[in-house]
Amino acid sequence: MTPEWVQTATAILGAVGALGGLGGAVAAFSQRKKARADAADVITDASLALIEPLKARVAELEIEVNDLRRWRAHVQAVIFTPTITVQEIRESVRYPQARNGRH
Amino acid sequence: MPHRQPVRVVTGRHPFEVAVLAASPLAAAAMMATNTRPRSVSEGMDNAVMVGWEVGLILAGLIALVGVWWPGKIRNSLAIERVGVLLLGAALSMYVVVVFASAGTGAIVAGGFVGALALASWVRLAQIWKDLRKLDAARHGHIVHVPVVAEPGGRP
Repeated sequence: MTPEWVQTATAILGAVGALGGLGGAVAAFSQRKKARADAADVITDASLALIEPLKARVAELEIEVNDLRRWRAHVQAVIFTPTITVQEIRESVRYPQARNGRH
Repeated sequence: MPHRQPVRVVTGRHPFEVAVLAASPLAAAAMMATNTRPRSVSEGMDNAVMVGWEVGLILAGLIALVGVWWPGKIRNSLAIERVGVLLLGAALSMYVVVVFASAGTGAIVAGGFVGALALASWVRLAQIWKDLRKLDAARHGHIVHVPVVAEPGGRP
């Protein structure tokens, strides 16, 4: 009853819709993945940028700590003899009769 | 810093579009459930094409509605809506062809309105396409919520 071209036209339109829909779906999915990958890149860059100054600061602090350790050892060594001397003096004051500052 | 213009995206969350998108799967599901088709469709389409047409109508409405209310990125929302709108444009155009072929001038109202909706779908498809390209051009943008421009008591 309806002419042949109507069925052809609807079939073509249907194919256009189906193929276009499939293509669009694929595009939407790939776009989502791409967006996610982009976001991951941005986050990585940002965290690297944040970490860089912290690394430098840690290195600085390590050097400072080492200096201080060395300084402490030095001070400890320097103070050792006077400490002994003070102890001996204190004991000889407390026990004047004892010889060599010991009783 | 280069002068940058905000990208404006046309939303699909609009009563006309949402109503049509909701009607499409409802009508197709009702046709399938009751096994009734318009005479123009059963005469004008091959059986396989007709089934594809109904599935297309259902998918079109559902996918586009999901896209319109997609809670994630605006780019994905538009990309999903684009699939649904394309399916809808194709399915409605199919109906316009068969209804005019079958009823001629008797299809002025039904064919005219559905044809208008088909045309609107294609236009909306082009609109989404344009907006997606604008978004792609402004890769590193972010969404800003612009307050209402006209406020009561303010200057028009």
